[in-house]
Amino acid sequence: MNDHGECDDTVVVECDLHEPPEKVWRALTEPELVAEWLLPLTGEGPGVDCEVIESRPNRLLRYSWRDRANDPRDLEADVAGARDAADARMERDALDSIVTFELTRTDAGGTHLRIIHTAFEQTPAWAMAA
Amino acid sequence: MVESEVFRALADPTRRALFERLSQREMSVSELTSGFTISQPAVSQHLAALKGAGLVAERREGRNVFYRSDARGLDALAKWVQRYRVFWPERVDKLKRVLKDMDK
Repeated sequence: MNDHGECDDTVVVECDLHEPPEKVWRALTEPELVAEWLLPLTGEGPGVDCEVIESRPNRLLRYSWRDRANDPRDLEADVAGARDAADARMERDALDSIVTFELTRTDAGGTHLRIIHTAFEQTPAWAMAA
Repeated sequence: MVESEVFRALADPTRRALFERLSQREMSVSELTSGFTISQPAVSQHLAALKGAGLVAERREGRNVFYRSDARGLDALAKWVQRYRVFWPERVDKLKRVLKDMDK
């Protein structure tokens, strides 16, 4: 909770990179490169499911980020009928969040990268108090 | 508090707005509803979900019920934020190495 009575639900990380946006964009979007620094965005096993929401080459990339909470009780789950149990568990523990990468070209020809990870999408105006 | 319950409760924008409003001060359902365009039964339903997740507490005073947000319910959210505050800088360091090795 911050001073404005809002949930503190966003992580912002910024950095300056020597490489130009075109090159950073490739590192953000080519699966084999993404796997090297972030994680495999597809495939089996625990981790994160991502789905691209918005893509503006060399400028902005936004995707949903669904991670599975590490609930210790999950480890004790009955192995029998694991298929259904696993699916149900995934459904229950999936936390939807949004990751946005903003790329801005710097004067030096590099990239200013801003990563915004927010637990929830912004509250739409219609839901707000009049 | 189970993290996923808190997240599910707060994932709904209306519920989040109600929760934020109740974090300012204690209110009755009708008071709370007056600021929103949704009906009182709908507000009550959202309140039940927030209560179920431990995010809202109620206090009875005679025939009136007052609601306020329970900040302890936010621990799960704080943990989530903390996790990613560590996660992203680590990943950025890795990204820098990947960029350096690209096209070699």
